[in-house]
This record gives sequence, C-alpha cells and structure tokens, in this order.
Amino acid sequence: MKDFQLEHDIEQAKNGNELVRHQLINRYKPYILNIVRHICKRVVSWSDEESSIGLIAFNRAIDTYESGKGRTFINYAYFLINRDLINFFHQKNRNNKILSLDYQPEGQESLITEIEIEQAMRDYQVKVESIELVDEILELDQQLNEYSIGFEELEKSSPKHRDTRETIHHIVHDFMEDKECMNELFRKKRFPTTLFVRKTGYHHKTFERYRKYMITLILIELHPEWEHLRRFVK
Amino acid sequence: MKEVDGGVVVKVTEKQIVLFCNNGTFKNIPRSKNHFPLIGERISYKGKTKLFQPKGWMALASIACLLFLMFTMVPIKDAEAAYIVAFDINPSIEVYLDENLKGMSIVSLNSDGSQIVSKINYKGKDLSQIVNLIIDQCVKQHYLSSDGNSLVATTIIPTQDERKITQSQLKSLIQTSLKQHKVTADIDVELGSKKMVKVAHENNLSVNKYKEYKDLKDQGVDISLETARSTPMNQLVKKEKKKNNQSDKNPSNNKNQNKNNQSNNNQGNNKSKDKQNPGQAKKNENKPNQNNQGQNNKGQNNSNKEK
Repeated sequence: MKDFQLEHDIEQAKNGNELVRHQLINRYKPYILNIVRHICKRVVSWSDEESSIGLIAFNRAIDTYESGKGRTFINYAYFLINRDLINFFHQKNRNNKILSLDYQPEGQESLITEIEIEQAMRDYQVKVESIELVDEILELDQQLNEYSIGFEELEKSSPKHRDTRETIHHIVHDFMEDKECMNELFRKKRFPTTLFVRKTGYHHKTFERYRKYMITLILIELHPEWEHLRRFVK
Repeated sequence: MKEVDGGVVVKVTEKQIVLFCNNGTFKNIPRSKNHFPLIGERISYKGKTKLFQPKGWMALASIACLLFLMFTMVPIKDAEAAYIVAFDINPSIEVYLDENLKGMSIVSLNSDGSQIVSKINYKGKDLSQIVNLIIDQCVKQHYLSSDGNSLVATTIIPTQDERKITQSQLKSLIQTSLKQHKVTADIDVELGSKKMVKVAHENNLSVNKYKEYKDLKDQGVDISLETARSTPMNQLVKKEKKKNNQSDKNPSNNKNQNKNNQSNNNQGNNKSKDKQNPGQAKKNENKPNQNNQGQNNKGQNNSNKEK
C-alpha cells in the first residue's frame, strides 16, 4: 500500500470511518501478532492477553499517528505495541496478578518522548530489511489469502532448480498475456489449469506442482509498486 | 560444510519460519524455541550440503541397490545349508537342506527349473518329500515319461562332516518316486564338493552339467561352455556314451585303456546311467567287483561316481 493511501485510510479511520479502521486492523493483524510474539519471545495466540494489548496499542496508533513527523506508521505501531507490552509486564510483575482486557498503561501519552520514538524507529529499522518491504509482505499475504494460499505452503511449490525457475517465469509471462486466463484467475480465485493447458500445450503436471508459486509470482508482477518484493523474483 | 543461504521473513508460525529467499523461492526453516523474528527481518540459514543433494543421494541409492541385488541374487543360503542336492532332469534345480535334511530353499538354474520351483512348497518338508514333489512336477510338465529316455542326474554336496544322506539312499528315494509316478529314467547320483559348486556357478552351469562338461573335455570332446549350458543333460550324457563307445571300438586310440579293454566294456555299460530297471540295478549291485573295476578305469575323472 502506497504511503498516501495508508495515510488517507488512517485519516478516514481517525474521523470515525469504522469500516476503514476495521480493514486496517484486519490487514495488519498478522503483523501485530508477529510483533507481540517477537517481544514476548513465545507462541501467543489471539486468545492471549498479550495479543489483545497489541491490538489495543495498534488501534491507538491509528488514532495518534501523525504523518508529518517523518516516521512510518508501521514503525510507530511497533513502538506503541512494544511499549505497552513492556508496561504490562512491569505491572504484572508488580501486582503478580492477571490484568483485565481493558488494561490501559498508566500515563502512557506523557511517557512518550520524541527521543524514545526516534530510538525505537532506529532499533526497528536495524531489525527489518526495510519498512516498505514489511508493508509489501503484509499486502502480499492478504492477497494470497484470497486465493487460499498461506506463505508456509509455498515451499512445496517452489521450483528448486534454476532451469525450472526460468521455465516457470516464462509460463507466468505467457499466462499474464492471456486476458481470458487472467480474468478466470481473478474471477474464480484459482489457477485455470485446464484452460491454460488447452491454449498453450504446457504439461498439466507442471501446473499442479507449481500452481501456488505461479499465483504468487503473478500477484507480485501485477504490483509494480512492490519494488522490494520484485527484487527477489528478478 | 553447509552452504549459507539467506532470505527475508514473511511469516512466523508456531513451528517454522517462512523465508522468501534471494533466489525467488520460499523456504520453511524450523523455529528455535524463543526465536520469533520480525516480518521483514533478514535471516541466514544453513542449507543442505552438495553431498546430500539429489544426485549424491541417487548415487548412494544405486550402490545400495547393487549391493542388495548382489546379496539377493547369490544363493546365500548355501553358506548356512548342511547339504545341497543338485538335480538336472533338464530343469536344473538346487535344493538347500539343513542338518536334518529339511528344505531351506530351492533355487532354479534355468527357465525349466523356474517352472518346477514355482510349483513346489518346500517349507517344512524333508528331502524325500521334496524329491517326490520335484519328480511329480517333472512328470506333470512332461520332463519325465515312461519312454526311458530321461535322465535324473543328481549330485549331493555335503557342506559339513556329518553325512545323513548317502548316494545310495538318494538314489533309492528317486527310484521309489519314479515308480510311484510310473515313469522310467536313468538315475545318476554323484558326490560333489562346495568347491565344485562354486566353480560350476562361476561358469554359469549346474553342478551336474559342469561335471559332465569336465568329463567330456577330459575325454577330448570339443565342447564349449555355451554348448554345455544349452544342451539338455541327457544329451550331454549321450555324447559321453557315444565317445566311450568309440573308444571301445578303437582301443588303440587310448593307450591307457589298452590294458583294461575288458573293464572298458563294463564301464561303457556302467557309465550309461542306471536305468530305472530294478532288475538291472540289482544286477549291477550284485557285481561289486565289476563296478569297482569300472570306477577304477573311469577313476581319473570321477572317483566318486556311484553306479
């Protein structure tokens, strides 16, 4: 998602558009869980309190994010989730009791300083290759979900040899030039193997094996703005 | 010696980390207990070594298959068996027996033998039962008939010192079975050694055929291994008989035989395998001196032959 689109959506959500807020949260859910697990260093599910704190922090990030300060939304959200979870752990240790879901860190806003945010941004940027790449991965993940494909399934359908990879790229290129096949793919949200085999004469087995990988390639090719992801497939 | 590959984390699940690798493929690597990398984090992992790539595995698998085939093709039971009894009727069969003369395995050495072996259930059966089953199948498949032109050539190869079966006992077993099936055939029972089995197998011949081949060679008959392999056992024996008869008619051809013309005549008859004619068998048994003489004359070639 381009920065201006994201900022527009955040602005909409701030102004009370609950649908856009809901869409934003849904899109970043895997990312929120990933950050929570990264900070907690253990498997956390949506039924755990830590993930709820992450969600609340993210929701607050939508409300408090200011685009004009030269920071990205993802980074800001990471900072808030991290901070809230640390406060939660401190409080939990102090009280030695489980907190309720409507937990709010005390005096949270006053504790945030620009220096802290800058430091958190630097730490985060050291960890991830690039914030834009994170955004692209989340978007790709969301789009793959529409085709019922999870990232973890793609290893099996990835071509192992360079020759095969090149062949797959040629096939994808041919596929994308065929409007009927592309329309069929968008409409049915699955690879139109029979139609494409009939048109091109490629072997049926190739598609069965590499189908999910080819859909991923097509989605990346369809998004020239995903500059960071596209570097991997070139 | 592992290669280090790299990729960017696209997903972290409970058990694995999904990487989008530099070569454009996806890779799932196991996640260690407290390691939860962030999406977008670059991670290096140790890939598989060249040695264990498919080509390496294929080579190893091929070697393993070859070794397996080598061990399964060679009758390894031979080493464990107390006795080997080799039959050549034209079907060439080797029966491996334990110290109690119970069947351990049966190996066919030619296609005719395979037809017989496939119909025989030797498990838990002793030598007399196995002999009976072999004769039974040979009669059913018309390798033996009542015309008297058939031959049952056998060799006992004991692999241990203890002898629970003698040549005469085996001959008697075969005779009884032939009688029961109302067929007649010459019976030849000889004694062999493990070394002989080894040499015969090396030449891709059955023990009986190899002995006959050696006899013919010793008598100056020009015969190749290939011919011996493809010629039925009774034909080989006929060749030997014919050669013997020629020698009888031209004793001067064989200086060593000059002194024993009388014995040679007897040998001619004796060398022709024992007919399934009780009368004649009895007659032969009643002439031990003659037999001994015959054996002595033939002796250089095969002192163990029982007539």
